[in-house]
Amino acid sequence: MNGPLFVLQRLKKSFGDREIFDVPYAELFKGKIYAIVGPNGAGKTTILRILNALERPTSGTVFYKGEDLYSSSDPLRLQRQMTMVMQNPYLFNTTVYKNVAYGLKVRNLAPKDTRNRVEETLELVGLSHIRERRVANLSGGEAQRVAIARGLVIDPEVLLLDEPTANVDQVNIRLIEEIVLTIQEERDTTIIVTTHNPTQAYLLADKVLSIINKNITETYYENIFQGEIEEANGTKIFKKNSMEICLVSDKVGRAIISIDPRDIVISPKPFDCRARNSFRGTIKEISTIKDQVKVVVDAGLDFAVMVTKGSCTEMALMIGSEVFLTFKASSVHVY
Amino acid sequence: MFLITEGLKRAFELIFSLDPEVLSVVLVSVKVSLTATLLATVAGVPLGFVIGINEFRGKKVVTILLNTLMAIPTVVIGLTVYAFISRQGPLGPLGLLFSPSAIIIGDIVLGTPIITAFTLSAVHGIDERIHTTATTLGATKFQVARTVLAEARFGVFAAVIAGFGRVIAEVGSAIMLGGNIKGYSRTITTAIALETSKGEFGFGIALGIILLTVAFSINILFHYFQGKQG
Repeated sequence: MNGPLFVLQRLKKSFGDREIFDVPYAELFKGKIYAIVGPNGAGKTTILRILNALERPTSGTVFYKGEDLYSSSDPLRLQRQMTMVMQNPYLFNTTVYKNVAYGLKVRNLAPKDTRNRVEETLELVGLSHIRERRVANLSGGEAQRVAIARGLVIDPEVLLLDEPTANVDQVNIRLIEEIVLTIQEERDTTIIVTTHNPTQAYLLADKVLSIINKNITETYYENIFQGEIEEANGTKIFKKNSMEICLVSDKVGRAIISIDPRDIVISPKPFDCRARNSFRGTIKEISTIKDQVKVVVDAGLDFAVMVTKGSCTEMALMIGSEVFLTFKASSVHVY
Repeated sequence: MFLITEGLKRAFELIFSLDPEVLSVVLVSVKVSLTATLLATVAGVPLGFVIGINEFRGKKVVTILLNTLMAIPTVVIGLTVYAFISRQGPLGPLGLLFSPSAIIIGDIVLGTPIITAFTLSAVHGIDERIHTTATTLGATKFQVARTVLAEARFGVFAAVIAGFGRVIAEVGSAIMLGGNIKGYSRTITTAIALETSKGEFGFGIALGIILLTVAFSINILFHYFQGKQG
C-alpha cells in the first residue's frame, strides 16, 4: 500500500462547548514512528482514542486504509489491526501471563501458538522471569511493560502508545524507549506515541507532530510563544515580555508563534546578515538527541536551537557561554 | 438459668451424636437454600450486570425498586406466593403448597433482588478502563461483557453469598409455604420456631448453634470477597 494509512479529514472533536480539535487534513503513513507532542490537556489521548475508533469525532472522519473507520461494515476487523496502550493502563486482576495472552485468547488462537507468542513477547519486554506473578505485585514500570507486551503480542499493524513513560522511573523510560525502537525496526509496525516531552519525541520518532491551536501539524514542538502582534512602520512585531520578534503575517493581536529550532543560527559572535531577528543570550542547557545537539539559550525568552555535533564542538558551546541567535522573519510561524 | 444450661447440654449432645432428626432438618435447609440461591443467581447476576453496565432512563427508579424489594418482609413474600400456589391460586393445580419446592419459590423471590442489587453495585463500581482495554485488545462485545463480569467476580461472589445468607436464615415464608412438615419441608428456622414453642429448648439451641455457625462462615466469606473486590 502506497497511500497513507490514516487520513484525517475535516476532523472536529468537542466535549460540550469545549472544542479540542479542528483538523482540516492530516495523514499518517505505514511503518513510521510518529510522536504527537502537546501540553497536558491538548487532546493527545483523545486523538489516539479517535484513531482507535474508541471515540467518535464530533464531525469529519478518519479513513484507515481508505476505509471510513466509523461506518465500516466490519468495525471489529479494523479495530483488531490496531491497539492502544493507555497512559495509566488497566491490568486484569490475574497473572502477567494471562494479561499478555488476553488479545490472543479473544482471537481464539490455538493454545500452543498463544504460549509461544506470549513467551516471545515477554522476552522482548524483559519480563519472562515474572510471568506467573499477579499484577497487584508489579511496579509502575513493570505494569507499563506488561501493558505494552499485551498490545504487542497481537502483532498489530498500528500501535498507539499514550504517554508510555509518563508514570515510570528513569530505568523503565530507557527500557520502554528501546522496546519501541526495536518493534519498529523488527516488525515494521506503525507506532503513534504521545508525549509531553519534545526531547523524547525527537529521540523516538521519524516524524514529530504537534498539537498547536487545536490542529495537528508537523511543526517542531519547540519555541512556542504566546503574545501580541503589533504593527509598526509597516512591519509586524510579536511582543512577549520585553522581547520583540519580527515576522511576516497578516495577523494582528493575540497570537501563538513558533520557530523551528533548525531555522535558528547560533554563533559565538554577532552574525552579520540581513536576517531581521538577532538576539544575544546565554546557554542554559545542552543535550544530545540522536546525531544532533539541542542548545537552550536564554535571550529574554528561552530558545531551543538544533546544531550538529560537529558545529557544537567547533564553536566550543558550553553552558554559561554567551552566544548570538539569528533567524529570518519568515521563519516565524503564526497560528 | 437452669433452662439455658440444660438446653446447651442437650444441644451439644444432639450435635455430636449426629441426631438423625437434626441432620434431616439441616439437610432440607441446605438443599432448599442452595437450590434457591442457584436459581436466584441465574436470574439475579445477569440482571444486575445488564442494569449495571448500561445507562438508561429510569435506572435510578429500577435501583430504588430493587432496594425496596430487598427490604420486603418475608411474610409478605409468603403471602404473595401462597396466593399463587394455593389450591385456588393460578398455580394451584401444580400442587406445590407445603412442599420444599414452595419454600424454594419463596426463597427465589427473596434472594433475587439481593443478588441483583449486589451484582449491580459490583459492576457499577468497576473501573471503566476495563471496557476500553478489552475493546482495544480486539474483544467482541460479548467478550468485553464477559471480561467486565470476570473483573467484578469477587463482588459477584459476595452478592451470591449475601443471597444465600438471607435465604437460609429466612423463617416467615418457609413456615407459610412449606408447612413445616417433619422430615419433608422442615427447615432449621421453622424447626427452631416449632421446638421452642413446644419447650424443646435443647433441640432449638442445637439448630440455633448450627445456623449461627453457617451465618458466621458466610460472613467471613462475604468479607473476604468484598475485600478482594476492593
